[in-house]
Amino acid sequence: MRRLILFVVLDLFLFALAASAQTIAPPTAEFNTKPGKTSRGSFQTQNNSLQAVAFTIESYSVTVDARGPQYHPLDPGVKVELSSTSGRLGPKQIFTTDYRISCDSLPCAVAIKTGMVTGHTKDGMQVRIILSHFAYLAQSKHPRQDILMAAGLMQKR
Amino acid sequence: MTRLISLPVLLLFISSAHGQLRLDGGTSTMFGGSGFETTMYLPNTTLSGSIGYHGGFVFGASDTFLMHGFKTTVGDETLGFSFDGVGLGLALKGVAASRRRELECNDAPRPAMSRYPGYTGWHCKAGWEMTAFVGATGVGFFTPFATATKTQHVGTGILFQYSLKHLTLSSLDVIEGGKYSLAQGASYSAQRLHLSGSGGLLNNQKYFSGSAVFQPIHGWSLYANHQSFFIPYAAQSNGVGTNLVVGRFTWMGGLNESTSLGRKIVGENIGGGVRVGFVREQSSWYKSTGQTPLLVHSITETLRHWTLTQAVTQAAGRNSYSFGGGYSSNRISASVSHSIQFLLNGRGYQQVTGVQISFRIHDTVINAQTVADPFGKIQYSAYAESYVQTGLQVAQHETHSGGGKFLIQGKCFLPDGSPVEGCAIRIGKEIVYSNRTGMFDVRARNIKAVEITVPVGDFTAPGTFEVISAPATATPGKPIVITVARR
Repeated sequence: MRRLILFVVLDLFLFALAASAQTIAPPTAEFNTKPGKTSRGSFQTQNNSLQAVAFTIESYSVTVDARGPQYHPLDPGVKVELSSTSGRLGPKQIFTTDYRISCDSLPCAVAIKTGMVTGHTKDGMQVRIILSHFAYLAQSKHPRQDILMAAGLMQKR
Repeated sequence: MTRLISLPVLLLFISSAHGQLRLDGGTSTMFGGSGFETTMYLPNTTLSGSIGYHGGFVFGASDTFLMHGFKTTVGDETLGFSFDGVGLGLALKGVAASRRRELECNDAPRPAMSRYPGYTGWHCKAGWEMTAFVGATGVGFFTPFATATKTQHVGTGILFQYSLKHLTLSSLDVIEGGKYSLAQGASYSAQRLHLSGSGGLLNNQKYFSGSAVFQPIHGWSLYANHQSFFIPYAAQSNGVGTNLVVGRFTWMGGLNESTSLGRKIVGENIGGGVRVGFVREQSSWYKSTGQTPLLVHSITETLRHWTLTQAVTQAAGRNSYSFGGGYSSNRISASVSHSIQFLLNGRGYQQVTGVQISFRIHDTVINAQTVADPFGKIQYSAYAESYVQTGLQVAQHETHSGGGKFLIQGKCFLPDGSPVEGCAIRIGKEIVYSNRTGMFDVRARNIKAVEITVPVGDFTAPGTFEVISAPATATPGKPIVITVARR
């Protein structure tokens, strides 16, 4: 009997590898575009857990300064159209969301935040994971680099 | 043993070929054995295999999948039928299928042909749940860490539950090994009153069980219950009592009665407590037939991760002291606790000690605990659970948002107009959730009206909700307004 218990413990540690939680890909997208022109993109949300999770998607305008990204409601000149704004991800499911973005003035940055309720604490408080997909739009070859450099968060190579 | 040694090789092979594997193992006197289990999660099915030691080696395997909306399990399964104070556990090697539909309510007028005269408003579509099984039943070894059955006889049965607003009706009919279990139950659950009762035959023995909780005002509750036990020996218990909470003060009082092994024991208890900051003091007096009264004073300090308890028990002019405490964080929790429990073994009120430890190393969780059962016996249980992920993607499990030219939008509110985040709304075949502003939307391919239901059981918002008003259909371009309230 003792050998059986030792075997079980040994077996569990043998297989104790890292498991990841929910993921989003890609985390950033860059669009070389013109003011008012619509850019199309997509991102994938993956539920790596074994339980179904509900998700909601919201978009925000982002201004980047020396403190990092600051989120606020979409600016009047920014239009974001999402193919889906909520739903339920089954265990191990990967869900693709398409979007269309247009900005009247460039450069502009938009964060599309996916919130997933992953459980509750003992006190009933909801535990929510929020993962962001950033879309950088500018009239240049490297929109993300240009926006971050303008904010002083990246040095010129 | 040679079979066991070859298992890790088999598991390595399986985990390299598929996505996710769960491993459980442990030992327990509560369940009377030791064992371990491997569970593989695939997109449309869950496979499981177990080895246990329960008076000899037992083996089990099962496959769980969805078939025409029924969650179907083929192989070894634990079947726990529990409702309104009655519980029946069965060990099955066979086929079991279950399906449920949530209670759904809306305020759309019913067609004139199907409505009661003079009534057009709020109505609910009844919820139901059904579980049916057939196969070989017998002695089971069902634990958090292993599932296996030693078959002895043939059995079949069905549990059906029907919910309508505050009322739930249950019916259990089981025949196995020449024993009948025919039980009927009903429960009523409203904001201030919860009633439940059931009766019938349980393994050929007559039983009745009932409980009532009434809360006349906020903070004051009155309760009464009656229960029948059959294992390890026949016993019955009755209890009545009250609790009152006013600000930082609490009072409680109760009467208990047990009948077992030809003895009848009556117990009384009364107590009060006060909470000041992180310190809580409670003093309670306990007396049971033929026993010296106990007076227990306890002080509990609750800090961020720590809970400490000091208790003084006074009986027959003598004092005894006990200390308990616990630490709880995300990675580890451990506690030693003392409590007074009314035991059904004829000893009345007794102090029982519980020890619990749980810790996590990466994806492995290890638990160990002791529990005093209603008959005063201390049981222990220790088990571990781990997940293995190979990183391989599971085929046919990628989906794409549907899209569509037409937009159906809406908002989910509380009666005071504040938005509710996490409302679940089924629009046609899709389920959507409201965001932090209460808004939700879904894209449709055509302008036709689609059916709407509000499955309150699927809400991600904390709490229990009921639908105050919701339309029955939605059309693109016409905003939907849904009003819900907390129960």
